[in-house]
Amino acid sequence: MLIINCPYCGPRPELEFSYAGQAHVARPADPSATGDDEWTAYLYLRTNTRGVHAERWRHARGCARFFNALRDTTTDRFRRDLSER
Amino acid sequence: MTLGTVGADGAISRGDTVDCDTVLMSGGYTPSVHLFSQSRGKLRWDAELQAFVPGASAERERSAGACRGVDGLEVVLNDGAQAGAAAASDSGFEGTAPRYRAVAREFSRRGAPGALAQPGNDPPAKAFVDFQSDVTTRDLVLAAREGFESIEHVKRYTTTGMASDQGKTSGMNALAFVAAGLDRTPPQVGLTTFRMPYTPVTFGSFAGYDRGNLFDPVRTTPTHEWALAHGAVFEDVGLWKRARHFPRPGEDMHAAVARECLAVRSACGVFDASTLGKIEVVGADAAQFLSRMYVNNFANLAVGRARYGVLLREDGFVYDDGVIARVANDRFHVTTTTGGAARVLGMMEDYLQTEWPDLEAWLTSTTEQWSVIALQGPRARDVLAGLVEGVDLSPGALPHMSVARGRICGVPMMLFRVSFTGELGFEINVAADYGQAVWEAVYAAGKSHGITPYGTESMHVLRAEKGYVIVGQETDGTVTPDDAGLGWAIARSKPDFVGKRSLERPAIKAPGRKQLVGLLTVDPATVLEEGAQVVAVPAQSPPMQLIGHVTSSYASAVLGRSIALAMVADGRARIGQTLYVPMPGGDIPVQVTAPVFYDAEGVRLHG
Amino acid sequence: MADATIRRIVGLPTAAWLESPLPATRFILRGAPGARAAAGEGFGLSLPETACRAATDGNRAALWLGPDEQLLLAPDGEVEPIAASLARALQGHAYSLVDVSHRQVGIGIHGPRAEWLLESQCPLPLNLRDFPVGMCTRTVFGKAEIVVWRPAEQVFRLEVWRSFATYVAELLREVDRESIA
Repeated sequence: MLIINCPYCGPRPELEFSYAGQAHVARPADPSATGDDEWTAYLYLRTNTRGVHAERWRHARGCARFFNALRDTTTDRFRRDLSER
Repeated sequence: MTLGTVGADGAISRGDTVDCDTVLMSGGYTPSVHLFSQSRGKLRWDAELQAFVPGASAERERSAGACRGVDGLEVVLNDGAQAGAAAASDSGFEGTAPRYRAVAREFSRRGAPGALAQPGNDPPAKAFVDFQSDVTTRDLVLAAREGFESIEHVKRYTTTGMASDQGKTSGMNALAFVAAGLDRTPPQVGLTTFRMPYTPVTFGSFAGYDRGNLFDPVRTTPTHEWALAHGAVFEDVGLWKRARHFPRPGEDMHAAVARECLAVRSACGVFDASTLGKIEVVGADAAQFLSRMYVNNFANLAVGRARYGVLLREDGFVYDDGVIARVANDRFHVTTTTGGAARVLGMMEDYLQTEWPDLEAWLTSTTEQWSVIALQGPRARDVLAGLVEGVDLSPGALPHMSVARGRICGVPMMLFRVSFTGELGFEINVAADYGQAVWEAVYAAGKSHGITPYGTESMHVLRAEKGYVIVGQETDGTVTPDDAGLGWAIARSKPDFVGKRSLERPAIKAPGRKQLVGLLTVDPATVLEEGAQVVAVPAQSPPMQLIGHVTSSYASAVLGRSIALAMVADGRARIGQTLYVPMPGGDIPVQVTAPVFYDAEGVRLHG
Repeated sequence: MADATIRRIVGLPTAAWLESPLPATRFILRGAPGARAAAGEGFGLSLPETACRAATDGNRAALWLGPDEQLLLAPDGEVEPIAASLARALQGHAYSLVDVSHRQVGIGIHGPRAEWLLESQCPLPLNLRDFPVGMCTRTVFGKAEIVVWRPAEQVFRLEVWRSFATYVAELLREVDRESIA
């Protein structure tokens, strides 16, 4: 069982969390002014990193907050958490 | 059994013949590296041992004793003690290893890995490598010759190592033969991935307590006991048990549904709608937030009014829908589909926390706080009149799509004037502990008005007669609002909402998209199958040109014939055409119509 | 009072160590951090500032569920007065107060085996060191989501959405039954 560090609640079992995809995928500030390529990239293109991946998690069955984390996708080890809003 | 010995050259020399009842065969010795490998440690080939041993660890573990290739009882015991002391020390504890002395009969674990069939040996040896799957050295050599170079391919091609020992007896021997067959060394070929579990585990262990009535939570509504007592047949909707129909003695589902639907349209019916998701959105920016999430504008929704909301994903496809009521300036009661409750709440929370954290709006799930009793039909108001206090039920005071607070049976109530049947309709919301009693009171009050309980099956038919879509039935994650005939719900003046930008994508604006239409079978008694495909040209041979599919199909008692909803390419332009539904028994001709079969003007809603 | 006679509370299985259900007045309070102090005044009990901690005076309790979410518990039948008192105290603040008294069922577990029984289907360590008296959190029990609070060493209070309550209680009883055998 993976133990994930929630920035609010501390280390908790993975059963309490849901994965929320790649981090820092910003929604374009003005979608109507966004070109098709940029919008497609926002919707569908992800880095699919092999190695340290910046990603979002939600402590869905806990404090229910979203937070960012760095996880090595080859070892499943978390690095320091970035608890940003 | 005849015994023999294997020479260094692999040739067999025959020895004694013995009588026996059972033969126990060993696969030889090799360190058990399964657990180490399952911890994602990297194996290392030890050329001297001719075996794989634990190399670099991935987890905080270490291997000791025979599993890392050391030999002899005393050596193994001391190796274990040393490892324990080192682990304790590395963890910050004091640890000294005891010293063991052992006297044991030692024997060699080295040896040639099996025998290859030699031309000179008579008869040719059938050398079994995997004793359970009966894989011989010949099979392995053949695999190599047939071009299976990856050890994973060899495993599947020959089934070596796939029996219940998972390669514990066969693994290393098979590797040696495959390597020889490919003219490589064992480390160059490598081992197959070690799968968990380490030893066979019973299904019972995996199941644990997840069995019988505890396999999944069984979710029931506040009126469940009443429904049970009145003969309801239930269906599973996710984890919920919902009454599907209420058959009277002698009725099958078809007959019950026909009776229930006729009763709703001629008198009134009562239906438990408690399972639909409810979210209370509260805050100064609640209207602004909902306007950014849904296609509709909620800023201009007056207090006490309700609106049908459509929720898209960012890719422009319909994700959920529901009636949203403004109960106060800064408070909205949002409803979702039964199956969508959790994910809509999650999606909203995602946007509030990570996209628009400056909005003053908070979400609270109230799905289980309220029991929801739908009362639908021309007599609905008559039934309610004697029960509610503090609410003016007249059409002027409580028009279609509005909400009011009052009391029923002495307890607080939120009353919605809303309809999923197309009839005069209300939904009574009371705190869940009162749901059963209020239902009983409504039913008692309705007896003289011909009230009939109805279930989800009738609910489906009644809404289909009106062409109301069900998300997940007419839509499948690839349907836009316009495809489903819901383009009218979009507030065109809004600069942005979730999914709006995607509606401008070329593929979304291109002609030929599947659109919602109605289908009337030329033979009114024929009921189409849901999921059946639609074609324009009859009597085609496969592969046919498919242009659409049936999403909902029912026998309509009210209309005295079958009806169906379908998604068909350029559907709206085909209204009036005859299309075909190919089935094993032949093509079924259908007329394409607008997706509404009953009271198209919606007169009955405004009673 | 009319509502006393027509109220049907969810019926759950019984056991010596299981007390349920516990009807209560319940609110979910969410809001800006600045509202917390004012809310405490309105509720008559300071709200916990620390994550996963509950405040209680023996009569009312406030459970920290998240940085902007608190579960307020009070004796049954106090919805109107508490809502009014909080509305007065929170004038001018940004907040959301929602009555969830009927959304959840309270289940009490007590006794020397309480910790062990809960741990059987909950992935959290519930020993006194990792889950001290006064700690509370949302978590899972089997396939259900629960809120668990430890008001005393051998007492746990669960809050479970009403349609999951039967499952949680039955599962606890099944674990108890099998382990005794």
